[in-house]
Amino acid sequence: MDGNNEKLVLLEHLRQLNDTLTRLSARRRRLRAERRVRLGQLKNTVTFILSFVLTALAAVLAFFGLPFLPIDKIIAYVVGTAVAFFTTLYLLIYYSILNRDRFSRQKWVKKRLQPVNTKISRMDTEIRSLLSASFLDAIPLDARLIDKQLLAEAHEMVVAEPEISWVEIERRLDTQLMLQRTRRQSLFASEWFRLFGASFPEKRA
Amino acid sequence: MKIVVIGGAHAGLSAVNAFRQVNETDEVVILEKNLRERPFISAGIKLALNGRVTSAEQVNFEHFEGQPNTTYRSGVLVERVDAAAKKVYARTIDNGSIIEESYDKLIYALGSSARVPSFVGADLDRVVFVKDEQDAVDINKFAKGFRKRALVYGGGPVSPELAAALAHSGVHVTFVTRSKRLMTRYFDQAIQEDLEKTLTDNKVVLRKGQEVVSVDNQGKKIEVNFNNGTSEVFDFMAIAAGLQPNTMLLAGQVDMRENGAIVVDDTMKSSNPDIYAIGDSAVVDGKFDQYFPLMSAALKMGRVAGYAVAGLDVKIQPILRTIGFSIFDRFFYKTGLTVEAAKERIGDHIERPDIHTPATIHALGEQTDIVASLIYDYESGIVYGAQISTNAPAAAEVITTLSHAVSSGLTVTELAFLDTYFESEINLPYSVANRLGEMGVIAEAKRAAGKAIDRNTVDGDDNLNGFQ
Ligand SMILES: Cc1cc2nc3c(=O)[nH]c(=O)nc-3n(C[C@H](O)[C@H](O)[C@H](O)COP(=O)(O)OP(=O)(O)OC[C@H]3O[C@@H](n4cnc5c(N)ncnc54)[C@H](O)[C@@H]3O)c2cc1C
Repeated sequence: MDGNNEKLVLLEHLRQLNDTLTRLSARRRRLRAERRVRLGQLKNTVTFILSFVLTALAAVLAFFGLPFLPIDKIIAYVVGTAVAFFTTLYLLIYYSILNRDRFSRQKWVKKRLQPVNTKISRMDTEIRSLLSASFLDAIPLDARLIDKQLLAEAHEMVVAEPEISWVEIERRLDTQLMLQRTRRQSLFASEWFRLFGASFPEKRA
Repeated sequence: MKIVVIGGAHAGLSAVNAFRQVNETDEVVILEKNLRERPFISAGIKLALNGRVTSAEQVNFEHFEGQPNTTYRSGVLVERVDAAAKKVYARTIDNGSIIEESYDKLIYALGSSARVPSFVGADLDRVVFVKDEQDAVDINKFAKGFRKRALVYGGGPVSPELAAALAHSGVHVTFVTRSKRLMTRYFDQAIQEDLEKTLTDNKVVLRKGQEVVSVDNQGKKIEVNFNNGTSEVFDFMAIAAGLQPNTMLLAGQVDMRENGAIVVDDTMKSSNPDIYAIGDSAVVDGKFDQYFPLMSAALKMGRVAGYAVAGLDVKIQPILRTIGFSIFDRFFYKTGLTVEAAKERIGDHIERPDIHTPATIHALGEQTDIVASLIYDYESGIVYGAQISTNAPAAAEVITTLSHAVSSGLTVTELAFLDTYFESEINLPYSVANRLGEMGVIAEAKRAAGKAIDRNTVDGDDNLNGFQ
């Protein structure tokens, strides 16, 4: 492979890395949205069941059984039903005000969310692995410059001036970056920074 | 000898299964990111939307057969290949532990992934791609519901197929493509027109010669802005903008094309003799060597590598990028080069006769037809490509005959008299493949006599009423 082609291939790999991260990061967001929806559904289901039980207990307490039971059993019956009623009421209030985060940490909820949680954590591993791709060590470009638009410009520079050095490419791209300060940063780059405090991509020391 | 295969999908597993046919003793280790042992076939995405199967992953072909001395490690993400030390490093995707495997021969089969176009907003949640299992889940989810509106973006065979499948499942589909006509890299005008007509007849709206400039979120929908100043709101957008080889792990270690595809010889060997590359990650050096990822090629490349590593003397035949797909009960096929591609590679002396003919004898009841084009060099007579659209499923054999004619370098005269079969309910006594060759023969006789060439022929009695 001649040097020029090697540069173009490396730039192409960076562009592809960018593409892959873009796709995976959007997918990760979709999975997190799905998780939110499932959590909401679980919470709705549990509050619905509790309200239903509560209504049934209230009805039992109010109407049924009393005329048919001997007096000595009525006390136990009323106490039992009342305890069940208040326990359910407590649970209903508890689940209604419980925030999403703590709700999701309950054992039974965790179990139901496991398939989507596993998918998200696999996605995280894959993204992390890509961010530390070994070939990035060999690239003399700064991580800030691994942006689709800038890479396309670098590609044009290499095609127009096959002898151009990486240092010169980096200098010109830096200038471009300064001029484009207002351009929207790709979602995955900002997301990754916010979530993991890592700059994109992580370069090994 | 220890063989490590990275990527346990169609190409990787076909290499392993071929190798195991002739070698039962050497150790084979397969490293695959996914957890399933039956790799996903991307074509399952459209089959699920079409209602042919209930879910996309039901469709599969090559799979791990559990042979002795063969380890299939799934859920393992390959992170690094050190070609100098002959080692592969991978990470278990569930617990993050590192695995190290040394090899004598490496078979690289990490396939390809979807290309992301560069407009702003390609990373939004309602913009999906078309390649793997999760994409299938996402597309199905977005397509469900009442009167959904989708924008399909692309230029290859996947996009019209997807557009048709979405329309079939009740989605209102708009199709956008950058070029003036559909699939310009695959077809010439006659078939392009037929393809466009098939889509518009079935209520797919075409936006040709337009580019997407940006996509913005608009509540639970997206607003797509086009370069002609218009904008439209959709429920989701599906992008099939081509596939790109997953070859980063060998960056700087073997020869690659500018698009990153690993260059291999006809035994699938890369510039490093211990590394074989197959399937969507590789491109075979040769006359018809454009990068063009296809399952039909991946399976052959895998088998060639498997048998070659086992010591057999095998070679791949030219990959002519023969494709076939169906939309709304019409089938489209192509092999070899289009006129433009042939002019680039061979020279300006390229001719293209078109024909519209019944595909079977119509008196039998079925009103089948074929539109076909032949691309040949009128100086040498050599055939370089052919394209077909038809509503007769059995006409598929014609493209295989034509692909064979291209790969063996037949001339139009040889094609006109090539041996073919006739079965009264399946085809015509003089095959369409022969007929295309004959049209070349007639055109060249006219050219030699200085007469006008008839490039557009309609066969059959009374405007395609058919042969009785
Ligand atoms: C929508 C669609 C429809 C298609 N229809 C057709 C058709 O009708 N006819 C046809 O001939 N072709 C078709 N194709 C093309 C065909 O799908 C591909 O050519 C084929 O999948 C190539 O197989 P492969 O094994 O080379 O690669 P892939 O199928 O891409 O498999 C690569 C494998 O490597 C694994 N992998 C990737 N990276 C890593 C890593 N770092 N570590 C571990 N494992 C990894 C992946 O999980 C995957 O299993 C279609 C493609 C698409 C997208």
